[in-house]
Amino acid sequence: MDKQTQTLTANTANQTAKSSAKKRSGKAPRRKRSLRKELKMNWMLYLMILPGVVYFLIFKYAPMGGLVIAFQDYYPFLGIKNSQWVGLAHFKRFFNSGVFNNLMRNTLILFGLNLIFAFPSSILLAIMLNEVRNTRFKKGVQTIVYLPHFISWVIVVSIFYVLLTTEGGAINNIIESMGFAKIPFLTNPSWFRPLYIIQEIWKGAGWGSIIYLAALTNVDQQLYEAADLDGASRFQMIWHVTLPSIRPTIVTMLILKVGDVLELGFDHVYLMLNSLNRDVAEIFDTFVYTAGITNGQLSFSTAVGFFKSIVGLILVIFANSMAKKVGEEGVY
Amino acid sequence: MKRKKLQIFSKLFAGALALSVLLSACGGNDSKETEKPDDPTQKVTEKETEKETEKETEKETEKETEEEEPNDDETAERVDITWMSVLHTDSPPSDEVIEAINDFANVNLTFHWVPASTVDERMNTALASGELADIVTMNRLTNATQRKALGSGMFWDVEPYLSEYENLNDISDGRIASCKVNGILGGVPIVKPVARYGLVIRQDWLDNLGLEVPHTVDDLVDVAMAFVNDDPDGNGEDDTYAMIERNESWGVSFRQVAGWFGAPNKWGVTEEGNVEPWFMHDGYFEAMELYRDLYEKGAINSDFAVMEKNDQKQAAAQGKGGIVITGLYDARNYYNLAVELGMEGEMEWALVNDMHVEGGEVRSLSDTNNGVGGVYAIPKSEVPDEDGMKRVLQFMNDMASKEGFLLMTNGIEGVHYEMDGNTVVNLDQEKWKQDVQALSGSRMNELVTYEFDNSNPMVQKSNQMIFDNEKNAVYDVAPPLESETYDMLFSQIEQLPKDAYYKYVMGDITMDEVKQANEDWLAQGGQQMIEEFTASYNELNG
Repeated sequence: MDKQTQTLTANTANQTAKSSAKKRSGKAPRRKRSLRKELKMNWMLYLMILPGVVYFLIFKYAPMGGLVIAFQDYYPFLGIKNSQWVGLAHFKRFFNSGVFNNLMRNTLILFGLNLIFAFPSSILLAIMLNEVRNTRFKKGVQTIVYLPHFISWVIVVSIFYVLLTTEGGAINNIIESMGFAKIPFLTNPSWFRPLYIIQEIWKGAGWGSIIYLAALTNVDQQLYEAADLDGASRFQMIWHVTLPSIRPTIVTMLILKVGDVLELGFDHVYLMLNSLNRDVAEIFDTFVYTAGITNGQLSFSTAVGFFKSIVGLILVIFANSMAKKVGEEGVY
Repeated sequence: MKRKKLQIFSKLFAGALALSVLLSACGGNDSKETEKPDDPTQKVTEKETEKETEKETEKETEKETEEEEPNDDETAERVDITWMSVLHTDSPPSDEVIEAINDFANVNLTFHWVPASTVDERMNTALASGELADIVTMNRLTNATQRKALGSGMFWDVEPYLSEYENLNDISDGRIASCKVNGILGGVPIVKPVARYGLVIRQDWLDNLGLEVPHTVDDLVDVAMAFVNDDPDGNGEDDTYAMIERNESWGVSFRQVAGWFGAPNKWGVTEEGNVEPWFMHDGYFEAMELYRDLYEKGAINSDFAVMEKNDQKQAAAQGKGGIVITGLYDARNYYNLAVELGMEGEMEWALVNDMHVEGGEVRSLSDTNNGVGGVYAIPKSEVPDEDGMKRVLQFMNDMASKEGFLLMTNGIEGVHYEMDGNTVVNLDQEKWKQDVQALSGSRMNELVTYEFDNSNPMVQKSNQMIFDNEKNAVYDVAPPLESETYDMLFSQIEQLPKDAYYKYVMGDITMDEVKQANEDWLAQGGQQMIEEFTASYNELNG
């Protein structure tokens, strides 16, 4: 989430810069010349941005060359130069492995559930907090709902294990004392997805709401006063004032989220994964771990990672253009 | 636009980075099933040591008194020996003990330490560039680079020479076979206990119910049912199960049970001469029936498929169950934890290492990669002539002696430890850590541990039993064999039989579906593995 927060900040800056650039470029159609001119004029600014550019070139772009190992049979001691070139063999193995469809389905379903339940939960929480008038109470609640974000998945999953296990788990003890049969929450495949979403919401909703709360502070109070004068109820104000005001933020977050469609978070799923729920719980990341990394198959793992990134990229472009079509500002 | 792209590409890079980190993280662990022995003989500050040491750096506390010099001629010139070894602790040992080793073995020893966290990369570059030492610790026989190097002939094939050295002569054939690559024994095997598993069972519960310690599977089932139904802890409540299994059951404890029924250790040779995995053996299915039955009757904890190792330990210490198939050293860990939990004196564990089916033989499957932790290799580039190689072997032989073992394990008598009859008393744990601990990761033969007595009777018992296990040890035949398909696919498709096991035991699927999972395994590459392993086996043996 913090990654997204950063991106968003960066993105907002980007938008501002871009919109001003648009205005300027409208006046100067011959770009090449204007760029040179621009460099000359603002060389100090460009000098200041240079370390950042160099950083990205060295640490972000240059290592991308390593992607070639997805097309090789890479062994570290042979190096990239001497490793055998195998073309698309790793991709073929992945797509033909018989589990690909299952992985795709599981990943998409989990992502869909995430989008439907976990994503709006932050917005909902932010709006509810926004409606709270007692500042001290509001701050207190805010702090408490942030906290789970700082608990690692290992702990979260362990807590759920302690609560839900069939041997002395608190929830199952209650269920049993009420005369019902114990529920195998952790091993029954149909419980995996609900648990996954509940954990996602519990851990992420508070942290995710920060960005919306920030956006909500910028809403013009006069709009509420005007709505109040017009006799709008609290819900009508939320619907007609609050939500439209934070719509750009929501759209941006949504686009970023879509880019993460295949990145559901390895550790969370891996910790919940067991032999009984594998059919619904195995996703790309966990598959890569068992099939590739535990065997030291760097090339295969890279190929799958590459595939995931490409899908993510396509989806971001798609979501962005959709956002623009419905009249919203995209992320670029 | 640019920024977003950067973002996406940086994600790619981050992904690749994460992969490499994961890779190096799991690189340290050859086999999931090889468990860390909570050191069988250690007395002092267990927690600290457990935290700070790798499994290799156990500390022994026993010693015997004889002060015999090795065979070296006192007047012979000291030989310079360099040793590239793995450092499992934070800092290398101080010179004090190394000096003592020099005096003892009449050498000038220089260590080149490679931190355990970077051993793969360092070893890769060292092997590629040929910058090695007289002795190179090759601790990962499954690593492609190390395997290739060992099979390439760049190291001395020491097998013909081992018999000339009294302390290297008795390295078991099973261990030697496990270390060979392409039929070459590229170094002296690092000897570890071969089979540490057995059954630990609550003696006090047995006594409460008037039962005997079980040694056969039928007896075990009777005891298990009594533990479930007859209130073994006498608290008047129906709150106990019998066997505490955990999520790794398939590859750990259940593998042992299948072994009792005759299944091979991971891979074995069938009567037809094929190399086949253990989950295709009849014994495997029989053991599965047994487990399903026990599970159905409530004798196995219902959440075993999701129980972590530490929770298993907790459950054992809290007396939720009374039977664990695990490393025999674990009984003491359960006991210690129970004491920590304030239940001192309420718990007594019996150890069993001769479980078998009626009329069957006792089989102890190796849980330590056939009892080897790699090899100490002697590169021809550093030690070109045979005499030099023999001198290095002589040094290894000296270090494999009891005295050498004690030097690398406990340090110097009078400085790091003192004798109390047949028991070593540590003088200063901190000093031991500084001077000696790092050396214990480079010992020749950890079996020497078991030649000493231990003041803790429980440890003494488990040491003895682990030592005795050696004669019933069942080795995995696969380590010296080659199969490309195995290297590529095994961890992926082993999920098929593994998942089927849990589902079957918990009653979700039928035996037909289990067999179907095996068929799928064969179809998705298993058949190829069997063929490749069989071909490789025939080539080596025949």
